[in-house]
Amino acid sequence: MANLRLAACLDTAKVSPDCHDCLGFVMDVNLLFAGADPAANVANVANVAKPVGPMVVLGTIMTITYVLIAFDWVHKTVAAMTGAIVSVAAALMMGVFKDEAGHSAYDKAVHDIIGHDIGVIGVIVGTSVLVEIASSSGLFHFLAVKIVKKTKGDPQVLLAFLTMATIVFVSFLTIAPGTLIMVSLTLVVTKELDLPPKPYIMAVAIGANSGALVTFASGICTLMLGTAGNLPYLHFFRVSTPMAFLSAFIAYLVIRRIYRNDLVSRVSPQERMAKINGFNEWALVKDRRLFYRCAVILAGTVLGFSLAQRLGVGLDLIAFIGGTVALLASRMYPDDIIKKVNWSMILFFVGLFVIIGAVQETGLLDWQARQMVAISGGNPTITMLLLALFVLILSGVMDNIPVAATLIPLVRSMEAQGLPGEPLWWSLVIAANLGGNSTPIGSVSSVIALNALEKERHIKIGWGEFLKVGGTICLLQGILTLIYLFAFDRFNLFPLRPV
Amino acid sequence: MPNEPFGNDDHLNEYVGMFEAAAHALSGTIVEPTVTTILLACDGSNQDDTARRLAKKFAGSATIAEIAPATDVAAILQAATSHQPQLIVIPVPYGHDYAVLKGESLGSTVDMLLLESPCPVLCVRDLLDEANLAEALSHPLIPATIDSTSTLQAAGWAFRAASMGGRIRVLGLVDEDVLNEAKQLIDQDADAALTFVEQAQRAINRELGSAFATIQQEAYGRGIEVGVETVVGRFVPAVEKAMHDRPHLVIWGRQKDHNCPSFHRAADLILASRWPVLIY
Repeated sequence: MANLRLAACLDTAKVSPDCHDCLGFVMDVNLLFAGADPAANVANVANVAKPVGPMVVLGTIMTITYVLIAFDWVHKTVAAMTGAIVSVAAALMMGVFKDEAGHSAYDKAVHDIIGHDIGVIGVIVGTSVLVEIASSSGLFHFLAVKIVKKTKGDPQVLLAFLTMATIVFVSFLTIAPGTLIMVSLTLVVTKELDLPPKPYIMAVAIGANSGALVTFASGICTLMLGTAGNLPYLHFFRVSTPMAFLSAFIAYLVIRRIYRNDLVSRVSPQERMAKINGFNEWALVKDRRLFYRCAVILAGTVLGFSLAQRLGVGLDLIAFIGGTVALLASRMYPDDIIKKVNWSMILFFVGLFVIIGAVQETGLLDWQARQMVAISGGNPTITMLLLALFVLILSGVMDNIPVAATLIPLVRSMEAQGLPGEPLWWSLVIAANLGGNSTPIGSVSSVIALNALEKERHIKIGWGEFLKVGGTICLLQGILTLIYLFAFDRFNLFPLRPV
Repeated sequence: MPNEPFGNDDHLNEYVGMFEAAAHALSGTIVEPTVTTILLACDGSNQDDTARRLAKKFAGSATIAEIAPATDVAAILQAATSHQPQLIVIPVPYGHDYAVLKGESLGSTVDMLLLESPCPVLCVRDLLDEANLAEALSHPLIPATIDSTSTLQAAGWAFRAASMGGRIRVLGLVDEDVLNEAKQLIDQDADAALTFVEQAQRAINRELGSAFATIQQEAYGRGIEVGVETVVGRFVPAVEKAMHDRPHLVIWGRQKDHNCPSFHRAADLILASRWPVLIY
């Protein structure tokens, strides 16, 4: 009955927090899904007693923006910025944000939201500067060739080494730069050894997403979730790093199995050996001094990340210190480096945060969180597993960054309902990174790798082939993820975050 | 497949070029030139003192034979025949001494000397104090293009200059002027032209890969710092930009042919530079 009355309100555009019917609807939903604690229910009713109209309008704007992003109809940044502008305008017109003394509705709709997430943006900018300088030293390229030479050109060993090297490089350099180095090397090595590049490119594309799980700062998505969930740097080594290597091992086994007929060399072992030894890694060295300095700065930054919470500072400050010290130590012209920071992606994030902030203010995400908890019957373990499953599927069909960004307030809301936060945050971290393996557009590493293969070798990996390989891997990794998370939850292995 | 929207694959061409270079790079050898005699050709200009100090720093245990005033190229060449120097040091006053001629001419003496000299010529441009002189010598800059006569030969001089410590910079340069001429010749559309630039950038990496590898390996053995970078741009402005107005010793190899581009680049480099330029 409440729903019928709400529909009537919507038809006559009279939805308001003062309307008894609308409030009744929200209360029904809340009482149904909020769990058993009556005191919490009362508190939640007060929190979510918000009109439905803005939820529908802003939810629609967010959905349209995400569709544009997912199908690549408009450049992602332009889509996010447009969505942000429309969201702010709609939110202000519908009175989602209210003026307060000395604090305008506009401030709350834009500046407060961006300010709230500025930490993530700061970490991205700081680490981008550091990674750009570290990459330009050429020593990562040098090390990559050194590693490949150890394979002696054996096709199967090469596959294993490339997968491992991708994980290591991504964990230090983040997904895009790490993938790019490994994809470039793979294209050249396979050409020299007369090997089909597909299995190796797939190994790099899929291994990179495992690499993003190794540390807090290994991937943008990981970094965003780690910051939002206040997950300590060192906890990653206990929870997600083992998963990184386990998931990569699955990827290796599946690729080796599916491409078994391609992992055979047409040249003799002696010839392979000669070709692989013919690589002169010194041609890749750009600046030894810079590499040593960057290695020290990278190590210092990692140490800083791990100590940030004890020091009472944000990770953005540590990243900024790392980036600034790298700029000073490199003696490079700062403008040359700063302009290489991915400003397009930063603007994409700003737009995304503004949209999500406006939608969150309507109470829609709280309502969705309650739906999810309700489906699981309020059971924390089932909620965690459902969340992981949902994210695994969703990350395959669209960029995992908007997926993660949208689910952050959802998980916060679930936490506010009394569910333990650690399992939810870790399920989000693992599932958002691995979910991208199922389709060719699910992750930045796959897009980079497949485009590079097409551009350099004119070889296409179509949706069918990718779904066969990536889909199988993602299915197995998904099952592993659910078992892994269940085991951690069952045996209380999730480390507790500092209060 | 959609394109990577955030330009994360911008470095793809550069990285593939680097690995291609590594796949075919050979290890060469760098021979540091033996210098027993330096011919110092002072001309009575303000730069004489800087030229003397530079020759002294460069000489080490070598003998310095000075001829002054050396305003006549025939006299310099005659002295070179008799002294058999391995290097001629000559002042080539920088623009502010001859404001009208700035950027226009090196003067007939230097012009002819570049063509006729039996050995490398070190041109001293602006007045340098002791600190700037030391910094220039310890920071040799080697522009390397497809038409460099020998990057390894330049490296030999650079290692000699930076033997007391310093940092050698090798600038792999894709010359925009040459590219533009080539693009016009083959009349390509904009997209193809972009690919053309990318291919040229990769080609320079491939071409110079062996030289880069040899220089880095040698530098590692000697404990000398070397920075290698590849840029696209017009030759002289790109070299100027790379220096960021800090003292360097620019080293460039030219062919002894007035019609050869490498000769004109030598002259252009000297004209544009405030810092010493060694032409071999």
